[in-house]
Amino acid sequence: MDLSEITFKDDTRYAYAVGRVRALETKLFTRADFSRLLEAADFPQALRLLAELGYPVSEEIREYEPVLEAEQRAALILLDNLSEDDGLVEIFRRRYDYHNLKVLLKGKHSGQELKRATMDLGLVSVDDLAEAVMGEEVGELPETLARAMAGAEAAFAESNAPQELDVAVDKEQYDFMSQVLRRLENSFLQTWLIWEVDLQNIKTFLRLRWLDENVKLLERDMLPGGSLGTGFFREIREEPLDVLAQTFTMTPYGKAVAEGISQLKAKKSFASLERICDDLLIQFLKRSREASFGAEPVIAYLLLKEFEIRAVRAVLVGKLNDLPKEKIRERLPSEYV
Amino acid sequence: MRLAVNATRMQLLRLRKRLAIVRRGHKLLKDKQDAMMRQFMELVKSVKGMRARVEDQLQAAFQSFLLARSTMPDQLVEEAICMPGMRLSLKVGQRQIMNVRVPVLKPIVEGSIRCYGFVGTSGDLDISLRFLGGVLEQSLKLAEAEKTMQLLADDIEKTRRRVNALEYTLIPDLIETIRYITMKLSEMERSNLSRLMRIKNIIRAEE
Repeated sequence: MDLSEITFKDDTRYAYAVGRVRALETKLFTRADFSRLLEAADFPQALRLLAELGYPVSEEIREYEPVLEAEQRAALILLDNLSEDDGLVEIFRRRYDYHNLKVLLKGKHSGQELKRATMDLGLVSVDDLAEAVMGEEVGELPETLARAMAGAEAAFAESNAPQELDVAVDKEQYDFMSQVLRRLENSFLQTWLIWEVDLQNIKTFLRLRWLDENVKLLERDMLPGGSLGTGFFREIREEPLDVLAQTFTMTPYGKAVAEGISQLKAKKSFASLERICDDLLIQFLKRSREASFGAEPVIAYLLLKEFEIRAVRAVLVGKLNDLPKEKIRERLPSEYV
Repeated sequence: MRLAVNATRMQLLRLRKRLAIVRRGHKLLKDKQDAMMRQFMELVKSVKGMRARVEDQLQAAFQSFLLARSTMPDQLVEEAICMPGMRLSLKVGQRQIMNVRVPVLKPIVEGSIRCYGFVGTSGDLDISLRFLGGVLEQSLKLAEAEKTMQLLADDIEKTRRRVNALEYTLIPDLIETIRYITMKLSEMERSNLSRLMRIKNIIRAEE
């Protein structure tokens, strides 16, 4: 995928949104902010710093997850308010419906009450989704969710393996995202999705290799919609790690994958590979700054905010559990450390 | 302490026979105790190594799990691992060590320990589960060895008490009683002899 092919259409409907987002972008955490967070003496001090940096931390809050969820919710509400395309809002909020669907399906098949694992950020209420999963009111569900549910149930019935539920729903989710972005004819976001799918598939491939799992799972676990098809991975599945790194040189991920593989070999950890993949996506999203008007800066802001929230979570969990600073640093995008 | 028995020749013979049996039993128990101690010490050594290995692996698993939690929201972690894909059943058998019945645990594992899709989950979760999968069999072996150690220790304690009871109570008591009866019988014999001599003297004087 040649990045020079990406064009930004001037969509003046987003003139105000872009202006607003440009102002908000200045409040995204910088390397200095993360450095201060990392140097915090303990978890309460890190929370105090977070409050100073604008996160909704009140005096009585002692946990990090509600704070991060509130920040995530605020970013999604901002997208709701600024987006002129319903499809964009749907893509990013539907992700939580798919997550809730997976939780409810697993709850149904394991006989557990798992509502605590659901996220109240989607477009369908958890109760409605629960009713549909339990076999009532399926007709009310959006088509994509109904299809994901049917696919997941069929796959699970065949093997009884819980990961089948995840895989079927994830595939439907990415398929749906790809369809919506094609409809919106937004080349930047389409390319972003291709990168996201490719990088996810590369990580999946290397994780499967590392876990020595059946190669048949390769076909099952790969997401659709990337530029590297299942055939590409099938051809290289037996290659040793050193050779593997070279097979990606013709892709935009060549350098990053080579470094990720060398770190995987040296440290026996996926942290570097995951960080490098995140770095690539962050660099890609930053290209949205070339757009004067359009949905791209708004979406890029949302996604960059999500990277920031993830990095904040890594620091807070590290502080709460006294994890070595180096281990936390390894998991933060290079942008932040 | 002397046993409450009549000081008769019959009792003396009976007690001597009993002392011989008790001494043989004491020797056998002492040998059993020594052999069990040897096995126990070997087991302690191997259990120490096994426990250290299991604890190291568990620590690595928990640290990887914490690292996975650091990059995933709690709800995602919960969703990923709420429904296990692996079923473990345990076949419990028995074997004997020095007449002590100890358990033999045989795990029967079905399915894969990975129970989640790769999207949205961290590689640290794979590492954590891989450590846990590896440590499962080792912890069952450890549980088996520790239970064996506990049962052996109980039996060593029981045997030690028996050996001590024989060595410091029963055998000294028997020896004391035997000595008492021997002395009593000798005394009775002496007294009988002197009585006979006295009677003999009286009869001679009358003649």
